[in-house]
Amino acid sequence: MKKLPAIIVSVTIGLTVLAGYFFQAELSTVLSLIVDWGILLAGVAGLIGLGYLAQYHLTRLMKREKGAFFSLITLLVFLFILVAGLTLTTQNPFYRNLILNVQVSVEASFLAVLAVTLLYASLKLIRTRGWTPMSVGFLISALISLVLNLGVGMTESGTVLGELVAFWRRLPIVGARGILLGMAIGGLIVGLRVLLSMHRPYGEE
Amino acid sequence: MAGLICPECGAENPDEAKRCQECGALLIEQSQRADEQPAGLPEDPLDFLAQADDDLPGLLHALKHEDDQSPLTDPPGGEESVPPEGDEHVDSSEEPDAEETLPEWLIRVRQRAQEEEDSVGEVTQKLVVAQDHLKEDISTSRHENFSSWIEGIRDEDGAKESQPAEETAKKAETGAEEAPSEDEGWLTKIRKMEGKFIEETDSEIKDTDGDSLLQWLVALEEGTEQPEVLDEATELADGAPVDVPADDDEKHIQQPESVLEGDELEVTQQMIVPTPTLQAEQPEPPLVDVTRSEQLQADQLAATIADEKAARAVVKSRKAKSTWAIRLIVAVVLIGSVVFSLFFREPAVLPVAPMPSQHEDMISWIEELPADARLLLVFDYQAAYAAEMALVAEPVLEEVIHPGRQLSVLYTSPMGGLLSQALLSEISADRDVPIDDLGYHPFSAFTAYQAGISAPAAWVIPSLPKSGRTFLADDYEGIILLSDTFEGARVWIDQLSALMPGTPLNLILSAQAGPMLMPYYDSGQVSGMISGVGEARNFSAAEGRSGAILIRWRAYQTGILLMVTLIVTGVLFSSGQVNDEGEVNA
Amino acid sequence: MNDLIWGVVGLLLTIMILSYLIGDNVFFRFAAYIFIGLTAGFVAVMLINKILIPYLVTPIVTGGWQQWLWMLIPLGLILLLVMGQWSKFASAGSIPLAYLAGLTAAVAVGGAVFGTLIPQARAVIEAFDPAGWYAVPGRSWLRVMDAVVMLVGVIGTLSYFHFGKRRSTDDAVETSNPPRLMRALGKVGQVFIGITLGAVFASVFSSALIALIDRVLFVGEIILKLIGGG
Repeated sequence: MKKLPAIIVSVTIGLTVLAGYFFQAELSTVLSLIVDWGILLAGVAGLIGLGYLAQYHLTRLMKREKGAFFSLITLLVFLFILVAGLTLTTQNPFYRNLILNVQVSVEASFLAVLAVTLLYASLKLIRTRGWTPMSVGFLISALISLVLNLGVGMTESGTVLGELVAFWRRLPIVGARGILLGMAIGGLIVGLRVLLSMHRPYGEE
Repeated sequence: MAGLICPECGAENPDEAKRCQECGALLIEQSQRADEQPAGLPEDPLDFLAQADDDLPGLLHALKHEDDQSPLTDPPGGEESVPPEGDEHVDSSEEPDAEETLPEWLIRVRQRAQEEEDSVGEVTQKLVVAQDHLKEDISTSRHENFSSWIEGIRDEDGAKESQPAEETAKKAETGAEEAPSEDEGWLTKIRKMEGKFIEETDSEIKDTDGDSLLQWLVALEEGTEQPEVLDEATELADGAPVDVPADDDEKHIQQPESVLEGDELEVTQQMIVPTPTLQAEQPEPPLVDVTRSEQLQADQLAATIADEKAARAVVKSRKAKSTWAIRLIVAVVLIGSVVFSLFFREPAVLPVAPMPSQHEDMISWIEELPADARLLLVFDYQAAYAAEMALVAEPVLEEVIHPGRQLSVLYTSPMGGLLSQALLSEISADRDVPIDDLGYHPFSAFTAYQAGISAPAAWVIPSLPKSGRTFLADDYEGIILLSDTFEGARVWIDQLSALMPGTPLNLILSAQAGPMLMPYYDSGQVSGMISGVGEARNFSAAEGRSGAILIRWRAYQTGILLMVTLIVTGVLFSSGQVNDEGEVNA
Repeated sequence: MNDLIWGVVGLLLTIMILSYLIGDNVFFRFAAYIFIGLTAGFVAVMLINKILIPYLVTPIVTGGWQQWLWMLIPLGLILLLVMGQWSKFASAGSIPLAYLAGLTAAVAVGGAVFGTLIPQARAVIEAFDPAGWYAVPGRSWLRVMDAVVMLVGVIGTLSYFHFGKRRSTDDAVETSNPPRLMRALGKVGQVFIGITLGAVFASVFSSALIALIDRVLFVGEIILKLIGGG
């Protein structure tokens, strides 16, 4: 009985949104509002999550745990960016440069470290997984894709070589299509379970 | 000599009193009933109890007299009862007063105790048998309450036992005033534990022929009474409760060793209370049905816990050091080769290569755009891919952004606004193209759905607040999506394919998103797509705009070649370590 | 000058993060924690400025009483969501979460069915259209082979994911034992999945390599600027 309001809300909203795929003109105003409020709720949920992050670091700082200094750094930067963003706005040149330079530098550097890590991991590709059909296909496809990325094998489509290269280029589509279909089937099943209230991720079952 | 003892309150009354002076209970009927006891011995000693009168206080008092003491109890182990010192056989004829107060059955019991072995024990045996017939439902709390009560009485008994029997007998003789109080206390306690006995009114007393303890014992035998008191009472006097076999055939009864010596009151207590008692049996643990899978899971959990607690071997640090060294060497080689290619080599000259179909379709679509086309740009990538997206998107946007066209920009990542401004400012700086910033729209799925349903409403609900996020996608000639992951782009493709299948959708992607999104181009859901620097190089060369890519192309080629080399090296080195089954040896 | 200062900031952060290649160190952690704090703060600013204020505060402040009444619904949902963070009122948070769950599930179902399942399945079937085989003369055998490989590969890939796995019963755990044909198709699917993942691996490395090249270029430019005196 306690869960009945939540189930009613979930099913009603879900069915209304699903109906929007068939009756766009009739339901567009209501659907826009539903999506607006959904994004509003998700935004508040995001803010609550950020609050938990701040609370975690604050707790670590108060308890003087290992890494409390870094938590202090995090909290100070968080507060500074938050206050500056609310006061200066995101269009302020100083604020924009600060965010851009820090974000782009750090994130791109993380990706650069990934490049080295992938390079090192390529040494142990077979050693880790052994000779299985999947690992053999993986290796051959990676090698050919890398070579094709260099611009090698760019031939006219009329020739046999060109057709074979084009055929090989299409091979990853086969597996990708199967993976996409599998993901879609999984998403459909889970979504239906939620809409039919067989699975309630929003409360205790 | 003490007078009549009230069966209700235990108060002492004169012999001629008909009613109790304290509580008003009838005394005459009880005395008359006692006189009318049949002389003959019934076959079953317990019949005495069935016909027991309510003259228990008088009985107790009588038992207290030194002359009336008789060996009524059986010592433990079935030994012959040893009469307390100074006790004499009771002869009702020698004591006319005792005859008046003592019921016939008691006299017979005494006689039997003198003549027979273990006669009183039989009584207690029968009581135990009666108890065995009853179901036990003893609550521990009541047991504990009773235990404390028993403890109290036991303490009193123990105090009494410590006194010499003669002193106790003298006290019983002389302490006439004390006897009623002792009887009263003991009886009151019993009656309080009984509960309803205390609450009984005079009328109830009339109807029930008194409320003697003996009647209660009789009722217990008949199964009309609760066994709690009886069971608790078996812990009376000394010692712990004695185990009693549940088998009815075994009538072995153990009685506490501390046979009351020379104390009629204690003897009476011993007699009344069935000595062997059932030790409060611990309730059996409830049976739990466990399925095999649950048992397996429990075993697995136990094994996991044991495994967690087990000592573990220390990881050898040599292997970690070698891993670190190899990784450092690889990093140095890669960064060094990139530096060399960037700064010490001439930029590459890119040949024009045949374009794949997805590029051709995108170029066709761009060329077919009207001069005043309205386009929607969706920025859906992170700051890490800013450099790559700039390299891939610049050639396309250079062709798309022309004076006269209108651009609307929305971004689904927090950094999207800053990244879009940085990208578009370089391209449209010298071109008078208005850019409409639609703002930050998180959660791509919801935004894509809302973009798709933004059709003109067929009807309007009055006073319904308008959504501030309407961007009517039907007005756009095309949508260009810039994404770094296939998941973000897939969501847009799903929603726009379902809700706006007529609006062309073109993708500008990071290299990592390309392979998983090709099926959408293959199925016609996407008009055109370009992913990664490799394809952008072709596009740029075809369009003649390849400056930024040229600078990086050598370094890019070097890195790719290094990766190919290491993959082949890893395969060659690891093939010797693989066993016949295709598994790699550790 | 401003650009140089920001460049130096970027240079220091880049070197701090790249120092992870040598090993985990305090500089790397310092830069990482700065990044976490900055990202969290920026996301909070964006959520407040771009979501809360335009879509919650502004309608309440500027709207009429009818707007007020309508805005009570999202206000109530937000209040329930916030209350749900306390264990005492945990059940209160189930309604706004149910709202989001229903919305997400419906969007996911609609997108999956109309955006992927139907079009992709149709693409597999339409590959067997004879009209498409003969669209390019002389290469029809390639189209046929392409269609067959696509069909077998997609079925094999789906077979590999064991959609028909049975559940375990109370008395025994039943292991998955698909028919022999399914197992054979699963083996074929493994190959195609491996091919796809190999292409993805190469593409991911390509993106990461471009990021590394860009970082090295950036560091070089800043150093040259510093050496050159700005």
